[in-house]
Amino acid sequence: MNEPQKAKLFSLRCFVMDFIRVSGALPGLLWLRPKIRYASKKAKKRIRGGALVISNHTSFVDPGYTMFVFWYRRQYFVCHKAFMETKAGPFFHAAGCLIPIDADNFNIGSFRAITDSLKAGKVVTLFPEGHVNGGEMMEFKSGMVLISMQSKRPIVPVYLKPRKHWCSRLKAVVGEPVDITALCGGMPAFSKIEEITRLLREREAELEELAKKL
Amino acid sequence: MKRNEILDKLKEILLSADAGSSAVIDSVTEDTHLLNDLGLSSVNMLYLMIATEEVFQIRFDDVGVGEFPTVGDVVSYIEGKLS
Repeated sequence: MNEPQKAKLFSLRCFVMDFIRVSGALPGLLWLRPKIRYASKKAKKRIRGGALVISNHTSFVDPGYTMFVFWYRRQYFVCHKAFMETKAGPFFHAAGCLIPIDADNFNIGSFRAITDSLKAGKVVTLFPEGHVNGGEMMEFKSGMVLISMQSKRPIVPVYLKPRKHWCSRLKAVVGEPVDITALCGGMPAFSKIEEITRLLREREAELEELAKKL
Repeated sequence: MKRNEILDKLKEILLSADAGSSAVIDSVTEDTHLLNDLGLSSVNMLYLMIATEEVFQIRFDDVGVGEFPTVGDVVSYIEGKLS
């Protein structure tokens, strides 16, 4: 069952993460002035329970942007192991915001950590391009399909419009949740996984088109 | 379970996952390299691990997909787990 976590804005159990969210909310709102568009009425419905949010990766602060898009939920971010070697990595990891993965030698333990979080009703965000793109959206990696399929949680696509200036507004488009379990129906063939990956990339491209009108 | 039985079940998994034509899967031996010979990506390998867990009713430890370069390595791991 996709049971939602209690919608507490602040919890002692997630003290550091919530402190970042709550203390950063007002300055962030004033600075970014988020403008969020929804692809449809269905997309406008708030995420309840576990969901895998996927987004294009335009900059290193994208996780912060997605926090403004889904401000009402705590988010856990899938990050490359190399990020843990930076100064910010261990801090955010200690705050419980990160799920590090080794993209070169993908570990089944990391995979379980992601699927378990989703099954526990958490919102996990990942950037399926793998790393920051150079302005043009790249091909998606298919791991997200496997994660969603195993956890039986939907994928919510979101497109973040690249900010041209440090003071420009944050513009984002949220798409309809995609139920991967319904698309797959059991254990699909490799070709089907690739097909769904392409479909999600197309959905993201549609959101990009909508973002141009923002 | 004997090694050849494990290998046969692995071939069935590969066939159902459409990892190659039936002729290619039939020619799979313990020396077959998963990455180079079958062209499996890391996601395909992960899929294989999940399917293997279901079929053999085992649970992989915290291992990376790169730790199984050949089919024989997977067979040995499963054999170890089953014993």
